[in-house]
Amino acid sequence: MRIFSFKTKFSDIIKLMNRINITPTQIKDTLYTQILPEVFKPARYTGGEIGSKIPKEDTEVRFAFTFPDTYEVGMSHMGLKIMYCLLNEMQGVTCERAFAPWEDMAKLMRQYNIPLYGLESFTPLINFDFVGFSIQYEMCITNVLYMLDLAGIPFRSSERNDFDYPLIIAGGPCTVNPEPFCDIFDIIIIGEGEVVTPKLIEIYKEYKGRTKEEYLKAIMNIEGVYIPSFYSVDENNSRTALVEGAPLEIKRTYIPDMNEVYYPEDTLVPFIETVHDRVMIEIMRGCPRGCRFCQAGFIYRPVRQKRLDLLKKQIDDQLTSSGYEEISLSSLSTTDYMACTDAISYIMEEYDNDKVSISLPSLRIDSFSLGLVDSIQKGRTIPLTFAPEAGSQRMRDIINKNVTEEDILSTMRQAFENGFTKIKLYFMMGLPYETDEDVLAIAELMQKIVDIYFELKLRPKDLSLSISVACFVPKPHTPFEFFAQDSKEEFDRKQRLLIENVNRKVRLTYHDSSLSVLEAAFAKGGRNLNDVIITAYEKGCYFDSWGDYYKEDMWKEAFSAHGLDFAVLAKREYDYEEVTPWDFVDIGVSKKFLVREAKKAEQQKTTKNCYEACSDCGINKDGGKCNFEI
Amino acid sequence: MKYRLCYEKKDSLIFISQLDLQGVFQRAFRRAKVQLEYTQGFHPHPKMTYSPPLALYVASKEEYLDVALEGEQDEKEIFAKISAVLPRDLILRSVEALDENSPSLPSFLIWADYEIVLRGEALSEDVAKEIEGYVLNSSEILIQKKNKKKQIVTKDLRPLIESFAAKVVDGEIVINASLSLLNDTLLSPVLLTNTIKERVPSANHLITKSIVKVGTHK
Repeated sequence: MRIFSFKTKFSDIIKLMNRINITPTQIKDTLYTQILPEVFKPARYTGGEIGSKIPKEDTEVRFAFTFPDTYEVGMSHMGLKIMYCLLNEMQGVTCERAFAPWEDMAKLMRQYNIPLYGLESFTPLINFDFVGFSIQYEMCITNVLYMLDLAGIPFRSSERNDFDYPLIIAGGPCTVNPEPFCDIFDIIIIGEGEVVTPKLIEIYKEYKGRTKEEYLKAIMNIEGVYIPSFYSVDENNSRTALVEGAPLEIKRTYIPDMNEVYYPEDTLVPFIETVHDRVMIEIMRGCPRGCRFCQAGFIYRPVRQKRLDLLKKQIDDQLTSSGYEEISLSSLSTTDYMACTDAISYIMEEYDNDKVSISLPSLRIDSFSLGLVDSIQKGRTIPLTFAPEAGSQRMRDIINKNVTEEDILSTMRQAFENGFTKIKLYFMMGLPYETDEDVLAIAELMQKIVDIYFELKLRPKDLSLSISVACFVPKPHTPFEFFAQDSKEEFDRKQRLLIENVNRKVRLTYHDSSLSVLEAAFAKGGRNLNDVIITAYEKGCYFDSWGDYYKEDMWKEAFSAHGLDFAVLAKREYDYEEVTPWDFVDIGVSKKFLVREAKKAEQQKTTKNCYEACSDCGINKDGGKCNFEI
Repeated sequence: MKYRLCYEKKDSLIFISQLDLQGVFQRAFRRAKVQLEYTQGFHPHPKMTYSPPLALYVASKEEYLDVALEGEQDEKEIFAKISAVLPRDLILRSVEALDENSPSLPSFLIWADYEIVLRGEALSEDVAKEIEGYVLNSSEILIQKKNKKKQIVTKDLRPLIESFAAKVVDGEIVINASLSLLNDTLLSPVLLTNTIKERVPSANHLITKSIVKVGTHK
């Protein structure tokens, strides 16, 4: 017998019972005849793609990899593709997928009493052993509740007794501060999931039939595993273990050697176009640059590169098994991968007959990067995308973006000379120590770029110059974690200032300031936000990052219902000595280093990248230096 | 060298549009290592021609794809290689080498037979008779439709219906209809079904295109 919370209405219980009793065949039949002909993009909900796996007959453990966004976004995520293949290779384990259905689909699912199901077998998620959510960005958290709701699973770990319900797990970059959403999950994985997840499943096999608490105790000391219900936290973020032996500090787990990281031989190939619809191969984890605002630059340390021969094999495997016409070499900084040019020429030579094209994300603004883009063009006109991040040199020094104005301008000149006309540049506003002059410097820099274009006698036609200006969000485990965010009013004022001053040839887009403030409140928040998230969902907040779906008023109401205000939370500063809600997570980089970097930012001093000099960030605990040979 | 592939599209694949299906086939050829012939120039495209696009939600037992491949290849070998890599609801039925005398796709795809199954409450023999009578005895079946320029135009479906019969089988109405497949007068079975369903609003439907017929328009 399942246990329901007091809030559960009797009619809901009947519905839930119906949902659990519905067979996969009944679900599939109702979908095909009643629901799918009525929804937008029905192929999101059917599965059966190339590379999808047929559930094993001798399945002992059912794992659902759930992605709290649409099919098109989730299927673009490399982590999903890796974990899906890895878990399905395990004996007795079947891994299925589930994505957040669009609202037209959700409406019909509710109408026909169809619970959220795994795409491979149409089995209701509630009948799985594990449901693992990938938390890629803060604002997807209401979609986790939306999916649990559609699956008929109670929101809080405390409401899910024993193994009546699946174990709800979280992973992904946002778990480096898991506190704002920790009440939802039974287990939170901090760090890379490839090694720890199979361990959890193997131990689970032994504990089937015993209690959930016994199982959680058995896994609580595994590196990267965090069991939120085993701790109480006071208002000063001081923690007490409620279970004997539960570690007070949780270490982020990672695989030290990139060549040991599991990589699947085949990949999922969706039938419909997705956001990143191509083969994606990781060439490197971590980034040597250390830009002070960038969370990825700290939480994925150390830099780990893949050997070229292994990379070539993976390129062959993935292109051959998928038949894809495009491949992307993925990392945080493409040209910092030391065998970058070799990898590109390999693809160009071997896959010329198949007309395979290459895409290179995360390029630095320099002539070397530009040369690479030029070499992969093959008659296409590739839009150039670079991120100077700030307009003034002072500001770029503060954030440790080691790019000079001369780099930017000479690269732009060269780009125009080589015929590139579509150029997009990314900037931020609201960075620490920013003044109005720094904001105006973005407009001045753009003016210089426009001038360079018009100075050229032989300039390419149809210049399309655009900039995207994001609102800076201070992130945990970065040197800027101590800082307050700009207020919504400040962001709006700075946005207007820029609009009035930027050359009209430049197309300007910027982020919703209110959503960015909410994002900061969550990024830096503590346990008290769990109630807020649940209230917000109950009021109707989900798909918050989908423009029109963000409901500012409802969020404000949800915060004030719990005596909070997200504008205030986003402005929260932390002293260097103060304990933050996320301090118990040891990502490997020391807090001393973060403080050192924050102080250097104030003095406008830069730090060399890892290849040039070791900045003693603490990732290499043995005191040794990282080895960057490949 | 050109080849004609005949394939079946069913189950989960009925939710894939013609445009997405082109990607599915191009990737299948690469997986199978069957070398496609591309057009020349800056934007090379594989040379592929499909039978008239099948409407979404319609299964088909007979669809065609003409494709140019590099060099001459054995039909059986192509069949085996492609069959091995297609998604499970896309089934290759035959591969045939084409020569100059082979008819082009539009020249022999004239009519297609469809089976339309209506499911729902109270679908009696009388309802089936009424639907059949409505279609066969009408001198014209006019519907309003948006054209490509988004203007509303009136279209007569009747001349595009070669034959039509409805009967009750196991409580469901099964319609067998032969509809025009010609490029400019193509009649989508979904359009016809929606017109019929105005008479049985509670029913839902399943459509299968069963066979393509050689013939001429009257």
